[in-house]
Amino acid sequence: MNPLLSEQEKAARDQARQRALELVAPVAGSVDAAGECPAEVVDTLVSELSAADEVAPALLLALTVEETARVSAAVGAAVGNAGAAMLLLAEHGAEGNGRAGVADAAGVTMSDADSVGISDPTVMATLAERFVVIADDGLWQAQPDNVEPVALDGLRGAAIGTVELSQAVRIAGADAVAGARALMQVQQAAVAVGICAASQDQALAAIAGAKEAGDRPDRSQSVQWALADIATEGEAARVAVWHAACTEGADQGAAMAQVLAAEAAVGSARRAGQIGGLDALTAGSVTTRLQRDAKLTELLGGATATHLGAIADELLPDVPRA
Amino acid sequence: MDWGLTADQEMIRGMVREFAEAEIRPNAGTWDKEKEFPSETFAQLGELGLFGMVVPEEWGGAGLDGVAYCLALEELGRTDASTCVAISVTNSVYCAPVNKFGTDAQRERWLRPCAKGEWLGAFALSEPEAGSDAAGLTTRAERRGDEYVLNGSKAWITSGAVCGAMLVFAVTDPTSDKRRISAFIVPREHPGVTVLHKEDKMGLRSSCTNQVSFDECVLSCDHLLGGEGDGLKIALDSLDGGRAGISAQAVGIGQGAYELARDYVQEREAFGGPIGRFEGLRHELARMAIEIHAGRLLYLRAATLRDRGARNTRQAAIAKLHASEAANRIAYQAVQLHGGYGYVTDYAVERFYRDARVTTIYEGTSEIQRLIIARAVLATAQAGTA
Repeated sequence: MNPLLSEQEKAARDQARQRALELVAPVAGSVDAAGECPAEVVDTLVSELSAADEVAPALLLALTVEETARVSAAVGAAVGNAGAAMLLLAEHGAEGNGRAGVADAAGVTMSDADSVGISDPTVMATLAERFVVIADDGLWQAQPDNVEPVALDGLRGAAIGTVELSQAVRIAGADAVAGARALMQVQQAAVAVGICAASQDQALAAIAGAKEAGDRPDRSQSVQWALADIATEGEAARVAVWHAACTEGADQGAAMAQVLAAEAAVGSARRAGQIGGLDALTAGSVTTRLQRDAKLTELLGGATATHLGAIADELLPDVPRA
Repeated sequence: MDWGLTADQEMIRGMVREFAEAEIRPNAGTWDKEKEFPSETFAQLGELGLFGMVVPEEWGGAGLDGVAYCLALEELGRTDASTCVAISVTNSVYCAPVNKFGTDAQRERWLRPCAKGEWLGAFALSEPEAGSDAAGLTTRAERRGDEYVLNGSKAWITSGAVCGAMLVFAVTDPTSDKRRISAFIVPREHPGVTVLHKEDKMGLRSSCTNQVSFDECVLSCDHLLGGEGDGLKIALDSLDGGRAGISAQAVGIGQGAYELARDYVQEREAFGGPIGRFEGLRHELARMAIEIHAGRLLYLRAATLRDRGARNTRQAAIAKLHASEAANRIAYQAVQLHGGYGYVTDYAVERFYRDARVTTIYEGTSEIQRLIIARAVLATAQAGTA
């Protein structure tokens, strides 16, 4: 057992952190303000996902998404979705050109349909030129039609919208569905872990700013404990994401990671706001953005209740839901 | 990164699980009700090599790594936290520091018999007026020629009445700030040592928790562990090592309580079927499983860091804070899912509820863990490595 990052994995994480600071940090605020996804930045970060051969693809995706989301959760979400598409297409040998995204069509059997509408808001919907569709009967590659942007008040700039998908071609059978869904959950959870890390960054920045002004909030136990809770919940979520990335989401590990991470993100962002006080909660501040983005991680890609239900189904296989 | 257990780790977990299911689970409720320390079972645990799991084989131990040790504790906690805590103490805060800081002569005399399972070790740091504030100890070890004379009293000593020896922390230099305290290996039957009353506890009722007093207890210098003034360092290092173990114990308590609840909601029928079909209850079970899962991953990581000789203070504190708080939430909810039956002693779940409670208190309260974590986060931020 080695539940620690190897030197190569640490290097990959550091590289992702560096690239996020270079490419994403300069545009993070404007992405949120305008709600527009920086497509070229997403393309660049996704293209770099194949650069670290020594790191397991799902773990590399999780590390990259966390570091990107630490700077901009919206860009992190877009990179996560597009990165997952790239991995699924590569894994199943699917050919094709153009920017790809993933759409989850739970409950849909594509074999019977000429086209399918994804009514839940989907990340990368307004940007992807082709989609990997996770349907009940397998993985499909399909073309988007009738894309409708959805202006959610979080993850603004993640190219979120609804989409209809047609011209579907099967790329993998039903046995690939669970793994694909777990990969999606891993990258979605990694976005939330990135928000936890960003919340800790904001809390520390607020403390440093107050110290410069002559205050010592770091000596306040309420601040220390809030900081400890941010670190603890974030770390619990992070190890769950890494574990799920390395075990392909076995035993509902990816769903567990998503629940942990999303709730940790909401709690961390709230605590960061409390530590920062009113100065951190002015309109357009990073902390307010984190709170909006965090809330969406509990809803997008499956609400927490949906994940809890799926986990419980596995825990109680002999007792069907009422 | 590889989360798979090694063959040895799987083997230890399986062996302890098998023993715990056969020998501990059927009796744990009775031991708890009668507040009976199960000496015969501990003799068997000693024979199995569980008293000195991480002690090298050359000193009579099992030579296991910290991960295997934590897996064993989880399995014991899953069936009986009282048994688990005595095993935890003898391993992580007696054997580990004696092995790490002791001389070969000390290891031969006071480590080997414990590691071989002949007797349990204990850890005597807390005092009636000093628990979390380890620097506030008042038990005095006064140097008189070639000897130390120990006077004072210790509180909350797990296995105080049943141990063979204990690690006692006492003030040797009252004028010093960081080197006030030294550590001594003190046999329980040494002249001047008196084991006082057994605490009547809310949980962990079959474990022995005693006050111990020292009255003109004369110790030759070879009882001193490490150098004079090393006590605080030894205590903090031992507690760092112990926290991963206590996290594993807490995960085990949570797992045990969860399993009882999971089984109960499938058996108990109401409104025309098993109550486990209701969404609200299902979601609670899922939350319990999630918290256990995260706690397990956190303690495995903290233990691995320690195995590799890396400092794990922050990670162990995070693991302990998460796992112990989670164990309490899980046990609370497990009682809730049992309804009225969870509130009576006929059902084991109430024992888990009581046993979980202390995990946020001993070996560093949750409040102390938060201070440790916050200081570590602030320090890494200051160093620019957050």
